[in-house]
Amino acid sequence: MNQKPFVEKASVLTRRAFVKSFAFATAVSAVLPSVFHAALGAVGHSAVQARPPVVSFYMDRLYLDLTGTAVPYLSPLGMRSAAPLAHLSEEAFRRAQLYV
Amino acid sequence: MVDFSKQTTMKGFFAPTRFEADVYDCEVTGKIPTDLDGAFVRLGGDWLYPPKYADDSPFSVDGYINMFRFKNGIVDYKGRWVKTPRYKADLAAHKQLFGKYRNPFTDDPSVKGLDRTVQNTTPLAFAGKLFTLKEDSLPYEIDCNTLETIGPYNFHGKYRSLTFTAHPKIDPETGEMICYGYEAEGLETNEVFLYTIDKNGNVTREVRFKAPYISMVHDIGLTQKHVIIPVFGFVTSMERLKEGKVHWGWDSSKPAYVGIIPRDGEAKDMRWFKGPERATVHTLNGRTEGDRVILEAPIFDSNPFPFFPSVDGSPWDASKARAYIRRNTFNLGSKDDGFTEEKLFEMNVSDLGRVDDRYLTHPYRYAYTSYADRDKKFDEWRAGNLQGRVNNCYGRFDLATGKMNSYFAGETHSLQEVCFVPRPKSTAEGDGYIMGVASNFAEMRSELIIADAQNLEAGDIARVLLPFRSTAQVHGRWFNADQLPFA
Repeated sequence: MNQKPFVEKASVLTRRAFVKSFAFATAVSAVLPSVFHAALGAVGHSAVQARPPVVSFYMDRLYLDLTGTAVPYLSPLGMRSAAPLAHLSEEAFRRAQLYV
Repeated sequence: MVDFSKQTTMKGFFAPTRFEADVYDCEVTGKIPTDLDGAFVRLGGDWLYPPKYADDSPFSVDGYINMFRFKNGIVDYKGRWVKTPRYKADLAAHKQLFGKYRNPFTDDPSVKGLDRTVQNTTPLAFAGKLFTLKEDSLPYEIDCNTLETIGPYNFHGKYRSLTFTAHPKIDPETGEMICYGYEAEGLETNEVFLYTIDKNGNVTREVRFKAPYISMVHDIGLTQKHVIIPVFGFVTSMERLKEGKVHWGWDSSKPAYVGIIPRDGEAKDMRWFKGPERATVHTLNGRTEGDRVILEAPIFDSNPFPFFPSVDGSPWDASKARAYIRRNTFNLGSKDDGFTEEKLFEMNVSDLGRVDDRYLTHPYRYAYTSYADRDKKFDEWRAGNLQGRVNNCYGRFDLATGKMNSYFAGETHSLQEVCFVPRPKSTAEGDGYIMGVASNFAEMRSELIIADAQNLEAGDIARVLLPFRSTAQVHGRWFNADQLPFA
């Protein structure tokens, strides 16, 4: 058992290291699609379309999906508790909630 | 076991809360004015069990009374169900036994003859007692300290109507209450009983008259000399009840009638004026000037309630369900049975309008109500998209100048009915606070707002934050500590 605890691994990720990795990831994300697209073009694989990468943030951390197929995570800032009735017509809404 | 999962419109902020609550020393932002000693009492509804019929009216919701008690700059909150016979029967059966709005033919047979009222409309403090009001029954007396239900009240047996309005008027000069009941002798009867009750709770006058047709008489106007009685559009019949329909349908062919009777008059003195299709559900104020009687009110062009459908089957028209502050003038010196109507403000507003009640029956200047300002941001991302349908502002409407001052509740809020609270020891009209509950859709909580009525643009003086959603109200009223025997 020569594994180091996870906490110890995480502790080596300094802010400086994070910013550096962020910059690297950004650069990669900018370059990769065109490389990928060019490679596909070279082999004549026209059925596959390259998509831009999906960038998300959660708890100030970067999440990068280079396939471009992910749905970006957007953190809710409120409970959106009016949303369940938002789709109703004016009549249906007023039938349920007269004095909002 | 209760199941609200099929109630598609009772979700999110609009889901039933179904609990009673006490919060002592509520969390507050700003500073509660220390001169406020009394309570802001709200009455509305919360479904104990889901409605029996999907197309029932929201007016069938079980009554729930709640109170923000102010003393020495501290606010305590208390919320209780109004424990009517209907509430108790449903709870015992663990299901909804009662059918459509004011239609006993749609009830479970086990509750035949039981009082169907839900007591969900207006709180009233009168003659040292606290009441809940709902226009289909007598008032229910409530303990003002515990908010527990005592039961129906008939003013020492002298109030003989079987029903009592949700909008009695109290004369600020005499302290007497002018009140009435329609369908006074029972379901589908056309009698209206009009009463004067002195400030000690003794009935001093009763006048009985018939309306032009059986209709909803939800509110009246009062002047120093006259009572103004709007009758409009809603119709009912025993036949429609037996067909299993809600109590009211809208008949656009019916003219709007307004009855005017001297406060010391008899039924024979009633004079009915007639106008075009309108709906005057709530009033602001009235006054008598010589031969002219004037009523100001937020008035709809047509049926405001989609759950009371047209009797001819025509669809509900949202564009006509907008209220505008209007002035109706009735000339008692003329033999003409018509009246004039003026639209005082071009913007549509909530019809839950209020005035400084010290000026009721007298010339006055300010009306207060809520409205939707679509130019103000509504943060859909945090609150959920309500497509600009929330009332996000309170307005003070100056009837003398046509100017409007505005209070904005916030980007994730909607406002329930406004209440004007006079500043203690003041006498000038409009010197006081506005108070009302906002729904915060982002934080899923209710917030009681207190603002300076003479400086609405300055925003809150204080805001009481509840850690939950308080039930939606219909009406809320401020009662000073000297009006009720608070502990």
